[in-house]
Amino acid sequence: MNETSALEKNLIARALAQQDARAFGELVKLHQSRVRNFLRKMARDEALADDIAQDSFMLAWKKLHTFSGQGSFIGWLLKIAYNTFLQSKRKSGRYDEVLQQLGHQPADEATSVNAEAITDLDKYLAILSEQERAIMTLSYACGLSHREVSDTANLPLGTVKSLIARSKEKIRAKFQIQHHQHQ
Amino acid sequence: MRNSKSNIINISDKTMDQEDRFLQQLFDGDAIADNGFSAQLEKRIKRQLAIRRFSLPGAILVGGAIALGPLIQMLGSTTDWVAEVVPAIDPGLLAATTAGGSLPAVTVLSLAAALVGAALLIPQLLND
Repeated sequence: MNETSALEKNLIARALAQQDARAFGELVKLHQSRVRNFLRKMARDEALADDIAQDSFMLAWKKLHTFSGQGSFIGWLLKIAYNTFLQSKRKSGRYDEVLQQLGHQPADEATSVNAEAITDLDKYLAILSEQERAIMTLSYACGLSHREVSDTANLPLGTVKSLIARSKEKIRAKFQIQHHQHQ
Repeated sequence: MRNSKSNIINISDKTMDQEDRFLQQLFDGDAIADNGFSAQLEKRIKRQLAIRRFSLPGAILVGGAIALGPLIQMLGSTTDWVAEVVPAIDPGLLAATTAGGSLPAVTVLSLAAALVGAALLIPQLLND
């Protein structure tokens, strides 16, 4: 379970009490990589993802007073990022354009896992639904616990666990991954 | 029997761990370099803060400049009205307040106080 660190608490307090943009900038520096990484996997377009990340952090700045300090700050940020992504997707057709360009469906024939395929995360992401992609990214790329993922994605814990299991099964089946292959 | 079942669960757990590690490696890309991302955001926040800080005084200044002409006109007509009404109530008052030939001091002072009060109150109300 990620906890809000003393450094984060200090920066949050400074940003809130003194409207200190520099303190908030330090918080952004600490977490931008994970937030942008998550959004890049969701939007699958770096420029679009970075725009959404900027909007997410601006919203986080506005809503900073609502952060209760319970749970992790990164979980709170990722929740805002996920909601901003969903809103931006609803508003704009850009996301659909990107998906069309990338081709949502992977190659017809099942792909065996090799070194090249492992580095090509897009193939794995493409077979997952948007919700599954979010859950898997939050869990495996952002390192959130299942409970934090459930809170971030606003889903019951049981649903998160079954979505993870289903996503793993999809990846296993599509790419013919045997358990003994990933040792 | 109990032992073998427990072994199976352990093997299954171990396999899941390996799979989880594999997925973690797969999903966890390289750290993304900041490359001015946070500086750009800081700039946006500072700009937003400046806009919020200066918008109200700015609006008051611009609004005040626009309203200055009509306000002076209104003040003139009010003092004329007061000059007509006050002698009717108390003929000695106007003579006492305009002894120096200037504008009626009581009227000007009360109007100025009302304006200062309004100027202090309006930003407070807007802020709320």
